Amino acid sequence: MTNAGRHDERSTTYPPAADGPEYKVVARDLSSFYGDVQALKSLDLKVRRNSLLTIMGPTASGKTTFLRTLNRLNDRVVSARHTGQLLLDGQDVYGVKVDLAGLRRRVGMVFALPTPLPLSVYENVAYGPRKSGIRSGARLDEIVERALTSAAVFDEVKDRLSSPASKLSGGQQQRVALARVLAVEPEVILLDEPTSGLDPLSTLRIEELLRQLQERYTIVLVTHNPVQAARVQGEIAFFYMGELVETGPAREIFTRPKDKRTEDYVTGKFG
Amino acid sequence: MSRNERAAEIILTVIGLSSATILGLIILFIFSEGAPAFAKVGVWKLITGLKWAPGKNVFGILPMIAGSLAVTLGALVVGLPLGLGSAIYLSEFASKKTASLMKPTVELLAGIPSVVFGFIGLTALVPFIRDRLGGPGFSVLASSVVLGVMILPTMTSISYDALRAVPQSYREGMLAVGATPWQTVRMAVLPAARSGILAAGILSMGRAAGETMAVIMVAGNATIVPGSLLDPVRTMTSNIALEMGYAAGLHRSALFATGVVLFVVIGILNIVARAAVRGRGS
Amino acid sequence: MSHAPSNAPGSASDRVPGSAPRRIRREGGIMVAIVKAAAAITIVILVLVIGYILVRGVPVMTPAFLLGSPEKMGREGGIFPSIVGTVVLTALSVVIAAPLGIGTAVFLTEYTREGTFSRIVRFGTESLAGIPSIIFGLFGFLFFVIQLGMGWSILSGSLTLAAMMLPTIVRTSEEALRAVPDPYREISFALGGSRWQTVISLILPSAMPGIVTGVILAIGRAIGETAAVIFTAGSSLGLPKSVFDPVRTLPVHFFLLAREGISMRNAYGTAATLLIAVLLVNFAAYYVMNRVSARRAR
Repeated sequence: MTNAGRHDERSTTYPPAADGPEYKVVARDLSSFYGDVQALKSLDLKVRRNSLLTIMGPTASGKTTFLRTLNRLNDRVVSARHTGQLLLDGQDVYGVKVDLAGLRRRVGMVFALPTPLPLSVYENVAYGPRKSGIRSGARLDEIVERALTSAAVFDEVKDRLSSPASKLSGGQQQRVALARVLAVEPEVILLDEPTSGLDPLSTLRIEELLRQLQERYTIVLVTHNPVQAARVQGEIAFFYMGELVETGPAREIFTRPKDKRTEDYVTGKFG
Repeated sequence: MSRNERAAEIILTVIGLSSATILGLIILFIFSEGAPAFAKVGVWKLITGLKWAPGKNVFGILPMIAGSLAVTLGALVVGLPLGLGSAIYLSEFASKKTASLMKPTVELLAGIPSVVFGFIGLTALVPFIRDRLGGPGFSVLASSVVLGVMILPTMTSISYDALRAVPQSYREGMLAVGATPWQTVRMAVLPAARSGILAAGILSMGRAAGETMAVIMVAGNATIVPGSLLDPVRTMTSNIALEMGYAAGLHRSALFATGVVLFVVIGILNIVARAAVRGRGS
Repeated sequence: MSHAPSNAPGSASDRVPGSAPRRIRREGGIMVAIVKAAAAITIVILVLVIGYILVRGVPVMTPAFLLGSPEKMGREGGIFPSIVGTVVLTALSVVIAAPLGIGTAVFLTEYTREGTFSRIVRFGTESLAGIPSIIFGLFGFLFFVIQLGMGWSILSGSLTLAAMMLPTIVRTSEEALRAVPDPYREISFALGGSRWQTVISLILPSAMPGIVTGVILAIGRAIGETAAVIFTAGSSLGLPKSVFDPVRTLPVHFFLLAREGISMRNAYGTAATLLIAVLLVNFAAYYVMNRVSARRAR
């Protein structure tokens, strides 16, 4: 049962979006809780349209919580609640008339484990479009091929489209998972530690893919590995114990971090 | 799209309420049919009355309560050791292969219709008792054996689940300090599974108390309080089944009142069983 | 299944290290033998029961017997009407009970969280599971046969049996639904699937083998049900022509013949037919469960 936006209406009201249209996602004073445990503390974060933001930080920094609050997957979690505002294109994600299914198609998510659905490769990718009402076989064919191509996996699976997706390798499965998301034509793509279970080669391929995709999508990548954050070279946000410590371009964060905690993290003192 | 969603939610909610509704209806109808007898004869007199003579409008169901009690306890005597023993063997000592053969066997036993057990009791056990041990053969003993065999699968499978739920670390801990396999079972596993096994026993009692057809075939159906194992006996269930076909008026209401008593007794057993499992935290 | 070694190392004795005192070992050995005997007795009982019926009953199951009509109140002749009646009654019960049971299970696992409402539903289901069959028979008699005016009929019998099968189907279906990995649900929601779409196109198909097995097992129990059926479907011997006709199912026929004691031959034949039907249904359940889990475990 969804708790249709457990949004605590405390005292603060927020002025209409004064952030410019170049920001796709805006978090304002966002605090997230699981029961009494606070996972995010007054987060103020802006994500530029068609860019790649890497949120890095050690475990339990609130990175995943932020993603799940954005696509409202935390509606499924009974104890989850939040205060503050989360805007997509200037509109409140937890507004009264928000179409949940539509929101989740606009903000797609790739999980840490590839978890192919118990279907063929084709049906995995066609799953989202089918659920949004597309029935025509020809259109689905087209969508599936385009998505698999954008995820740089089409050539490897084109002869195996009707075999079970579970038979693919880990790296292939994760790219198919990405294709699954691309098939519903999202505007934002969230990736929660997508390469943590993959071999180095697959990891690099996916990182390369993300760098290309940022031209068309707004991408938020979560990682606990600072080396990956450095490699990906986008904008970086460092989360530590629920707080946004610092943001900046990769080069700045790694060579001239402003906060001591950031410096400790990127030099490997913890995390 | 969201209209379908809404419809699905409503339909499923209604469907979800079907069990509770049926339960409510059962209670409503059974209790209201039994009410006249409770009112006319008096609850206390009905339940403790020693004589059941519909012809004379005398309705006391104590013999039947005693009968149900006797065959239920008898069933436990037969079924509990066998069931628990089988469960212990299956869970702690059997090889994987043996276990995979035995589990379906027990489930198969559970699926055999009660009338089959009653029939075998009637044609094989009753004559045996009559010839070798005396009495009419139709007896508490015959009922106990038949019912005991019938509750065997329940006892075995619920006890098995309770034993399997005990963490492997308990066993490993005991073995590591030098206990024999049996000592491990006796001192670590069984105590830990105690509440589940208790529940198994109580639920099996409920099953035995609720059994009708098999009991009719072997119990003898005499409306007296049984004095010995070889005495014939009538249970609450067989009381209802035997006379409902031709009962009318107060007689019929008294039979439903028997049903009420049966329902309450088994209900209490089930609640106790559930509390046993929850309370001890299994 | 753990095969414990019989001499664990590290025992606290100053005898040969690694052996428990012989008295304890022997005592343990006796107990192991006892539980082994218990298990053996259980299996022997099953074999004897099935053998007893089949040995005497199968020879009676000639085509004339299975397809013929009963004569002289069923003491002679065949059992065809009872076979037909049993099949129709059971089939109708499943058709009623399965959607209700599976729907309740879906409701419990996918549409509610633990709260007052789900506790009411669960209480209803669990209580229903413990009610003896004769109470169902009485209820069916009062409610379907009399109150709703359906009379002694296949319909009354099926509705009553469906109520009896409900808790079993709910329990096994719930188990099967909970066994479906939660990531599937998360992924479906993340792709914009609604709750109902997720259930219908992903969760139910995944849980289907477990659900089907549960339904088949419930059918097996329903076939042998006597007390509830005798009070609702009646015991008239004719071949039923519609669901409003009464019918004498196999277990009821068997019971009446056995009590009368006149035609033991027909009794054994009826029993064997009934038993074989139950065995077939059980094997079907195992087949479904094993075949599909073998396919999944690739």
